[in-house]
Amino acid sequence: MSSENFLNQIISPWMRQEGPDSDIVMSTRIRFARNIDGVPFPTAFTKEDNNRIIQQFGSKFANQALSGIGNFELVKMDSLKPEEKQVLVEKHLISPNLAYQNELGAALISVNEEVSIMINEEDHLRIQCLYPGLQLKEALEVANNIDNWIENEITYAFHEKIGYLTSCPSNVGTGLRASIMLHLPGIVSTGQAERILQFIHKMGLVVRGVYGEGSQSTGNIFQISNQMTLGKSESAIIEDLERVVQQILLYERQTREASLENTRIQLEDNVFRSLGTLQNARKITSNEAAFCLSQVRVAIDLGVIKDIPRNIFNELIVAIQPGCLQRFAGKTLSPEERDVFRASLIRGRLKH
Amino acid sequence: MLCQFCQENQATVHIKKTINGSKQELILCENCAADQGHLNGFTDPFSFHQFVFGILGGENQHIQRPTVLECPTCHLTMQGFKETGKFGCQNCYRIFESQLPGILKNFQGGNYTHQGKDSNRREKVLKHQTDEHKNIAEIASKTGSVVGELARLKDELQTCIKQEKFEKAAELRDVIHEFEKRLKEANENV
Ligand SMILES: [Zn+2]
Ligand SMILES: [Zn+2]
Repeated sequence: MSSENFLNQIISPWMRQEGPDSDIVMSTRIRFARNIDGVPFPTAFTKEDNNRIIQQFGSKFANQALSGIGNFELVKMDSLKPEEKQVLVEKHLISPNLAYQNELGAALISVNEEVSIMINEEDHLRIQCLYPGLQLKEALEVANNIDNWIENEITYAFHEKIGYLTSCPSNVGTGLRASIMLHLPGIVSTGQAERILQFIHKMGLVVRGVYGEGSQSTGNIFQISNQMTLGKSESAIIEDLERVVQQILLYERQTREASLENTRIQLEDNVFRSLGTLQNARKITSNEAAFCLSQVRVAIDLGVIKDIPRNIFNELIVAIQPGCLQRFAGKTLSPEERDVFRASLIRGRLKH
Repeated sequence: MLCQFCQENQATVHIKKTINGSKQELILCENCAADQGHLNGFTDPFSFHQFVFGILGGENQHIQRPTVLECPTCHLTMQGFKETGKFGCQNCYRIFESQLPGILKNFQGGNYTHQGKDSNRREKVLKHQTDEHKNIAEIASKTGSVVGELARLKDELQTCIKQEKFEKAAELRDVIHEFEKRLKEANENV
């Protein structure tokens, strides 16, 4: 299969759309943690509880259409191969926790892959909406609609004083986690990233790598989300996050423009070398690929490279992960083989 | 003085320790001190009180330790929570209510009141919970208050013994037995 056809097939449709501030913001995610009234949380429930919840949930919501979202499909964890789970993790449709903890759990995933409802991860339900670019309000509204849609059928565990109850007290109250995925090569190049991220942390926000808790930042990509879920309304939580993100955007754009103005030749030299690597390498590690892709992406944003579409970066950063690569190859790959397939996938995509 | 951790029980244990070179003083109730591993066995300096407590407290285990709170629905204890950082069911939030401020402070900063969506939902939740099916939440909140009251009574019993008010202690012992019976029944019904 050609790289382009493969990517068309594997990449979520929303990922190829542009959203507001798409030059820096890769995606917006809103997540609600919810539990069903009267049933122990997945941290303490029985296998029978698990099966009953999935069954009940599947029969109510699978193959149902929600206006604006479309249909949902139920995927049970015990019916997926490890490679298939890995692809869902790499596409951010399920968490590593749900994929690897045990055989329990399931996910209701919308056909357009904008919405994923994880069932029996740490909580009975984790409702998640994914959008391109910076669209906190829009994503919150959609997540709210889905939440209401479900709550019409199911009574949630709710406490009159502390709100929605979750197995971890870090999610109690609104159950809302809003995350923004940012590409910050400018800030990283100034050597100030560490200081800025520490400051963000002090503002009550959490900074992580691409694949969640504990993951390393690759390709200058950072995920920023709210830490506190209680004591503020949902809209106040996203407004506070948005304010910080806007400030980061401003600073990132300034540093990008400054480097274009002050060190244009150096920048062009770096960028075209990276592009050369991506177009010609016969094997490439995921770290090197992420580094080169990041450079090329910022050059596209700055207009230094004009003939390559911008969303290629978003697509490839997902597609060069092990799970997706093995899907591309159609077989299990050793790390060395992955480097070869990775190089060939990228080469194929950058060729016109 | 109230316990610094739960802010509810009378503080009876004074702990001094050095953490990272800085001296810390804690004033806790017996329950919280035990939960936090500050007590190894019964620390009452007067063995006579221990002796009396053994008689009036009825069961032998009371010499060892004031009863450890356990969620009747999912059997989680505070110790279990401290290991995983996760509750086992919604009932836990009622059972461990007195410790919530300390827990939430770690995760949620200062404000413990839900400000987010719920508007018409609270009513719906209450309505739903009344007669339709077996009312787990109500039993939970009842057992929650029983457990809290039980802990308080045991505290009071201990204080009485220390102050050598033995008649009052004997009365309390009977009340405690009654409470324990009720709690056991509630556990079986959940
Ligand atoms: Zn206490
Ligand atoms: Zn519980």
